Amino acid sequence: MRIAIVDDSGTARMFIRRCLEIAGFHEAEIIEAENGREALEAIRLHPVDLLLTDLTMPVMDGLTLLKWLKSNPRFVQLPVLVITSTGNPARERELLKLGAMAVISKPVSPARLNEVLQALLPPAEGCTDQPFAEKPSHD
Amino acid sequence: MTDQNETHHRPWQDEMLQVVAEIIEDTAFSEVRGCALAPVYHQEARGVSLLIHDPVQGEFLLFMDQELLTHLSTLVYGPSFAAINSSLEEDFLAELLNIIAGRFLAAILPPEQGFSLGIPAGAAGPITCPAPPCLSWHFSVDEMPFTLLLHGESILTLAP
Repeated sequence: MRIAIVDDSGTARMFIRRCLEIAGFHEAEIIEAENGREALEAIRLHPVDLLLTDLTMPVMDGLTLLKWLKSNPRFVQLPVLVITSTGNPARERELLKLGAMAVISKPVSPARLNEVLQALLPPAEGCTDQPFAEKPSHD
Repeated sequence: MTDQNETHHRPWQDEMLQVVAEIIEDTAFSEVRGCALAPVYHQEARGVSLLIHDPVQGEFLLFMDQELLTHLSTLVYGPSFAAINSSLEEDFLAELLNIIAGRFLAAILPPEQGFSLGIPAGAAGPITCPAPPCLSWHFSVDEMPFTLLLHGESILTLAP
């Protein structure tokens, strides 16, 4: 499975990558991009099975990326998960209407990411049934 | 740190504390405490700013000493992460303010009210309010302080 993480913050990308690993996607190949344009260039060359994107980014924001993907026959079926710090019910409805698979508020947690992906991805592409910790132990 | 340009009552204290505490706990697994008094920062304090574009206008600023920034970055990235440097710490600080600002605005604005933020940018210079009116909130993690400032007439008209 190939997953694209699109966020201008390296910290956010690291956090999402770690959440994916904890949620059972440790064998997935992760592609990172700092903005929508960089993501488009990457997935044109190497298609992905899932794309996780922030909204507020320089160069090309997540809303433009989502609209572009959902208007392109090649990518219209690509599941897009929006991970944002500017979410609210109205924004979430708008994003879902535009074709986003789900919207998650930052900071994302492994449990929340796992919950959303389990519900929305086909079983073969979802995570394993291995348990995961919500938070690391300090022991 | 100076309070010369600040209002002395602090609206949204509970909302900001709840937002900040949840985020720091979820990302760095650390407890946040509120501070009544403005801390004294070292000259090498690090800062970041973030503009609020819509539906009101204003600016958030977040400041902390290098010591706390390194501490939190290490907690978030893990002690074994080899490449923690100034650039990565700056990125972490920016993302932290981005999340705090988003959660705070979601908490104080009506549930259906959308909002938009700018791109975080490094804030240099003394830790003072850029322009009154201004609100400040002071917190600490493991006895190391950090400060959030919010200024802009437009956003502060919403203050209770």
